[in-house]
Amino acid sequence: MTALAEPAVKRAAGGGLPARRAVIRWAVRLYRREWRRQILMLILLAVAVAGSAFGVAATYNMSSTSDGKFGSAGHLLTFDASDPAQLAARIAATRQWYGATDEIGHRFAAVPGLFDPVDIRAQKPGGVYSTPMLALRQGRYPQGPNEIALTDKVAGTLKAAIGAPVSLDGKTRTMVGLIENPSDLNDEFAVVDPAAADPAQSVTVLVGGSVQNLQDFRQTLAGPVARESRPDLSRTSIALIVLALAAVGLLLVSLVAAAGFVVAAQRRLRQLGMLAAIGATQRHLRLVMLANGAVVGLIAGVAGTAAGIAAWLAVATTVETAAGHRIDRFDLPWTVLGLGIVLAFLTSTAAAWWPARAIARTPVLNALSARPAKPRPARRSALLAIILLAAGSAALWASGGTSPALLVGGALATAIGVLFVGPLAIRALAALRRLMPVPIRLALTDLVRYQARSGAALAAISLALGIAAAIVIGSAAAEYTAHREAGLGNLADSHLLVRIGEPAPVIPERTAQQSAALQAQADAITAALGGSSSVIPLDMAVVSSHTDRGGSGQPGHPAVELSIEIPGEEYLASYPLFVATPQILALNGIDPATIANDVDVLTFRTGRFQLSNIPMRDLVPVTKSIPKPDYASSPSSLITPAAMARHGWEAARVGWLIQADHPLTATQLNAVQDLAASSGLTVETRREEASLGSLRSGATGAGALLALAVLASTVGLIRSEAGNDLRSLTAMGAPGRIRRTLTAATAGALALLGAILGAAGAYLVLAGAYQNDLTVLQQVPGWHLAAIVVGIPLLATLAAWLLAGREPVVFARRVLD
Amino acid sequence: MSAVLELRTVSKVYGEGSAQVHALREVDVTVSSGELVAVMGPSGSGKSTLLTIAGSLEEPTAGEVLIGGNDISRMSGNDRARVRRRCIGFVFQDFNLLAGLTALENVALPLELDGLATKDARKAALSMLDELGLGERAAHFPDDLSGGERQRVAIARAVVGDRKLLLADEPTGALDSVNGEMVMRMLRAACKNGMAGVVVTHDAQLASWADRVVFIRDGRIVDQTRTPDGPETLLSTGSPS
Repeated sequence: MTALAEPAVKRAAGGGLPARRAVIRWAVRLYRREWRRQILMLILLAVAVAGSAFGVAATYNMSSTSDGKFGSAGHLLTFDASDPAQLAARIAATRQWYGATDEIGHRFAAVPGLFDPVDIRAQKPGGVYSTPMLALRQGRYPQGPNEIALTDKVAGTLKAAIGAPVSLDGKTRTMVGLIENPSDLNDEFAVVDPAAADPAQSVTVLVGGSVQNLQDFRQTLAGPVARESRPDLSRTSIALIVLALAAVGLLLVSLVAAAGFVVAAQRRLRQLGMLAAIGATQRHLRLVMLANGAVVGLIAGVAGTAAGIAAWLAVATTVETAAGHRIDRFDLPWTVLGLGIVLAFLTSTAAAWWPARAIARTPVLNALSARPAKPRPARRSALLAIILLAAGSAALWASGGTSPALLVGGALATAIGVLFVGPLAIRALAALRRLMPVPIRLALTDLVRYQARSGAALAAISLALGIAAAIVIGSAAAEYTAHREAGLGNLADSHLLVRIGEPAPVIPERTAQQSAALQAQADAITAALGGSSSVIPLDMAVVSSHTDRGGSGQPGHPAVELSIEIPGEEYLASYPLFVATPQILALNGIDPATIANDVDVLTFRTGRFQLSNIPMRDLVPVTKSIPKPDYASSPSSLITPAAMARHGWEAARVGWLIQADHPLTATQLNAVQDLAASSGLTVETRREEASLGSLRSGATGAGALLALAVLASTVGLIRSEAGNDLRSLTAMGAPGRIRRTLTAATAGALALLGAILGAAGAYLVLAGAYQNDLTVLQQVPGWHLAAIVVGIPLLATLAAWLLAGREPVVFARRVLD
Repeated sequence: MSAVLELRTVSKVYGEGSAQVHALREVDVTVSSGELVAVMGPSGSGKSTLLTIAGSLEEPTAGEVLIGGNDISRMSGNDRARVRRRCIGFVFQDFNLLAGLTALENVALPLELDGLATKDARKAALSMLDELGLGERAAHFPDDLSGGERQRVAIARAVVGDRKLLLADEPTGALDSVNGEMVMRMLRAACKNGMAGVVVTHDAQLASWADRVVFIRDGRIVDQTRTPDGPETLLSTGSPS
């Protein structure tokens, strides 16, 4: 006979589907019985997934899109309407070329007291492409020549209401509706019936098709035509980028989760031995742990995504103003969110892979007696650590501190490399055990004996504390850099910077009446501050001989800017140039007598300069260096009146710097901002730099909690595995403090090694990121680092000492079991 | 009767150098179909090692282990696992039932691991539980069963399917005398049905259920007897002179 004769019905060699089904069924049952023991992993993964789901949903909905400008079109053409015949021909040609087009006529009407003119649009509601650009909030759309609809801000400025007459652009119409651009809530305009509108000054035509098609069409038109294409980056692409970043976070979390799976696998060792004894293959044994990981990943993925979406739904309506467009909170990138669940599933399953592989290789008899495998030589992990650290450092160095891909890759390799140093660190610490008292010696020996558990725990603790240390060190460096660059801040607490409109390359033309109105507003603002204030007018040099249209479409003159070449980049960095009036020179502490007549520009900046935003090319100024101003928003680059005279440029008012004789109160600032808003002025006040101290404290606290949770789940396991030794010690008459010292030393040693490795890894990664300016890392956040490196090991030691008092009861029960 | 299990000059050494322990020294044992062999000996004599080597849970340091004429000591891990689920049934002192599975699922598991469809595996398992008087308890989890019932479930799992070899390591160690005797009766019955059985026990009275008793000491077989006269005789026979 042969005992290995194939059964009558041919079966798969490894048991096939029935075997896998049986193993998975058992794995799921086991998880149902033991889920409380794996709650830490589940929460970790679920929180990470919730964060990424929220990030994806928020980024997808809050990222500024081009819908406010392009609607659903791919491109826009802007035709000048000064020649009606040419305009009509161009629109006809466009319609013929594209078939479906959407035209919006523009007229710009000045409003007394308002700096920017109001854009009166002849726009058809529900246009082919323009639907996302126009929505009715109240009333109805205008019909006929005597009706108009306004956005809320325009209506407020004009003090208009639905049903009331509105005077605009020399005509009186009835306001019949309140409208908005749902894709750009900052877009303020009026809409009239296109069939009864006055002749437009310019017409925007929205079209679809490819860029090549647009270029082909452009060739058919004579004369200048402004055209623009929608940027390539879609909201889904942005959401995918967020998901990719979240994947890096999930990968780090999975390393912590892997330590949890090692614990779970060790707890199941005996049961897995039973399964092996009745004929399960290594593949079946692996499948038990992989199924566990998959179940955890699936639950974490679904629960985390649901929590992330719920959080998004809760805050979605409150962030419309910040987003600047209407948000349909249920408009979510479901495919990307689904990918997030798949990612959690895969990450968790991958985290379970290593413990599954190790446990499946345990000899059956060892597994049946729940004996852990012999510790592996530390040199293998040390070699891996060296390779990863070398590769990570090389990638970080090659990144030059600027390449995101190399930075992320280098940081990951370095972080994982530091984790592989763990077994070597445990052995190095254990080498000191001969000098220690018996309980500490035993604790350190057990860390080496149960290296599979202690190594995984140390990796998880190092990672948790490493992330916390990286945030702490990184935020201190960022704060230092910000302070170094910003000096004392943007403005003093007694200063106000009042600007006419937003900073723009074209300064609009202004009538004397408009200029007087603006000056009156500035005076009103100064008066609102009370006390005695000095007002420094801010002017910029404009090329008055050249007329251009700014972003608002209103004609104006280009403002002269100072550009500096950036080494290695194709573009230039541009800075505004303010006219060096005596008041501004005094503000900067510059004696006018020290400025030579041939000097064009005074600036503290360095580099290769040229004057830009002007019709002349490659105009290199003669510069004189001045001290860097104390405040970042103070005029810091100045153009001399002599230079303006040489080039025939004129001064145009762009704002005022108001210096009060007292710190400004919140009430004064509110009053000033109301005054400014009513007249199209913007006001900059001192920004209180948000201290990153709370971020550091939060990171330290979160890292400590995570590390202590990992310690709690692993130290208990290591100590219970060494329970026999403890029973022997107790039988020999060892007092209770021995038990406490053993557990405390185990927890303290793991926490200390984890903190040291984590902090060292964090410094290594950040040194790569800040390689161009390592001085920023000299700003050591002492207290927070001390809390991580000293406080957490002490806390772990103390907690273990206190909690170890319960162990004899557990041990006694184990004996009875 | 054909030989189901053959151990040929099997040795097993644990450890290295000065820590070396010879658990088995050139042991030869043959067990035929329908035969129940009891293995007795003092603690540390190598009884359990013999059983685990016979059951392919461990590899011998030297010698051959043949099951149904196939040398399992030369097989890969997966092939040995296939032998365990297809040919060998284990009964342990502490039952070793999987806590998350019902009695029926525990019994059906080796068949399912071998690729039998769940429905067919459960049908065979239920039939076996019925045979051992546990049909009513099939849907219960091990935690809900008494010690005797658990061991009967373990026996059902060991004999279900077309098994050839039944290996039991102190199967009555955790049971009272009534349940212990019932378990031995079942093992005896399984062998009557054609299986070859090896039982490791300290209890001479229970060993008397066997067709043959092998006494082992310091890793060597020191005696074998076919007709034990009683526990006391056995112990005196097995003791070193």
